[in-house]
Amino acid sequence: MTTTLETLQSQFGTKVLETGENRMGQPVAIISRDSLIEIMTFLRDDANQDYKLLCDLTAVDGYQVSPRFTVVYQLRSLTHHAIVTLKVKVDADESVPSVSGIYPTANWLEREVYDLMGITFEGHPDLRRIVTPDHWEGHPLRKDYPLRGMNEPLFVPTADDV
Amino acid sequence: MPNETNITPGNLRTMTLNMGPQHPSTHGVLRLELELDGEIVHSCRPHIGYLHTGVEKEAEYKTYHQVTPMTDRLDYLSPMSNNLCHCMAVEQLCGIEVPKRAQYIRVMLTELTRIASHLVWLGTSAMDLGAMTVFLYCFREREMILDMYEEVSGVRMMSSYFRIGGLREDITPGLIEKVREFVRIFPDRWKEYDGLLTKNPIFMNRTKGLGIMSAEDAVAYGLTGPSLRGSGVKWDLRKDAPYCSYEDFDFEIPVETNGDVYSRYMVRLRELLESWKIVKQALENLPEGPVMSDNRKYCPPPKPEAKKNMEQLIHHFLLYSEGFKAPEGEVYSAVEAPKGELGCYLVSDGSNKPYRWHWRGPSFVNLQSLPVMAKGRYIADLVAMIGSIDIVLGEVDR
Repeated sequence: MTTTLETLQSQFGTKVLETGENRMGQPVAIISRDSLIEIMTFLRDDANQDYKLLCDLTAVDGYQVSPRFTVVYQLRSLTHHAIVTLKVKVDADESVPSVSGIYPTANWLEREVYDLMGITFEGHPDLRRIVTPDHWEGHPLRKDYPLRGMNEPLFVPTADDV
Repeated sequence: MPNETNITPGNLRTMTLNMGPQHPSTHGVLRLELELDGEIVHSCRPHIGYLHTGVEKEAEYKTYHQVTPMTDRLDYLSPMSNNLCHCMAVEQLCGIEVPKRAQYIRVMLTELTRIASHLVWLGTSAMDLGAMTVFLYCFREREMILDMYEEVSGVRMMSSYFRIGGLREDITPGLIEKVREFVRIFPDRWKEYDGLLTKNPIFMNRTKGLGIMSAEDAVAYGLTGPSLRGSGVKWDLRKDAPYCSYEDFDFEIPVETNGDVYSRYMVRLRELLESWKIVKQALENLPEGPVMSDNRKYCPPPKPEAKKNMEQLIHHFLLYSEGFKAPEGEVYSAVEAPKGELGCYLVSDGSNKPYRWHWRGPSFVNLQSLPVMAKGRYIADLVAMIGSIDIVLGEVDR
């Protein structure tokens, strides 16, 4: 039986930019942004793949590399007991196609990435901030966002406070 | 007062109502923006984030050891499962082998955690429906488990007992005694919960045929854990992707097919007994040996050695002050927490702190299915549905 990565490479050729595995030996594929929907739909609907469960969607800020962000998808196949990681690279001023049309669970996960990383998802039905307040400025999980916040007043106790 | 101007295109006069954030049945600070047509829920939009602490950002500034206590506070009803998920992610990143005894103790304690978490769920969700007695019965047994936490870690709730590479220290004879007593009494206590609710006509009327998720919907909305198994999908990471020696234990995965609130109740209720079975086996077959890996690159030397030997003391000091440098790479490690698949996506750049530490909380993902369940149902039934997906807002907001 061919592995998921081999199938992806033979089916999609150059749209799969890079393949490998993580430190647990699970397959990882970096795919081109334009073919994300096509590949995800294939993985979900093909009977030999059957990756029906999108269990995680998150992003990593590479900060000084270009393209800056990596959006990471974890897909599980409940029938074949398999897991595969898909990655898409994107720059700060670009957007990623939303997969919430294929996997409804991506709705909130993409909102979270938008809120905390500032990556926009094209075609998302309701792209609003989710965990920070609506008036929040900046995207806290970016590496250039300071830990103590952007405009937070610094608490310096004086003799009167004690 | 109903909002007179809010008329939707279908000539439907609706009222917008905020349920929460301070509402006893939302199990924390969840706000639901409801659009009501009389008593029927027309649409439901959850608003979350009231407990957002930025723990993922914070973790990037802590050493791997320092992250462990932060995980307790996420799903504060199951601290051991959270510790396990973080420790396993780091262990897999660094390639640390955990001794068998430590793995068995981990299994025993995480299963007790599952029982404690399910007991809180059972008590509170039944109380939401007006069954007050169950709550008191459940907290009686949960108290015994909290006493066990205290025995192993000195803390009743935020235990932080699991360490990277094993456990903080070996368990005491006092714990063995407490677990043995718990194993002895629990089946009888379980029959009491079962007797109070399972065939109770009021409870059945309020939960059957309600909040239905079909198997396809459940998978598409990313439901995991008892909520998924209540929809007839047999999926449990303990069986389907075993970790931490779960393959050594003999237990069943309860599945119900109706996908309603009652099915999810039945799954969790039966899981209590399965967890009891695992605890019993772990206690009977507990192997001898060390409880901390001897991979000294990442794990501290045993305390008696560190007290006698200067090099060991320096090593101990370095591991707890500066931490260790994890190899470059990434892992996605998942465990079956009481509420569903708990995942930790960890990226390391070779330094002593995580480069990215992402927490896939089951409560966050499961809560997303609430609007699907609630649509077209009575507002009074919404309370039963919130209870049935078993959320902890600490994990939803992170």
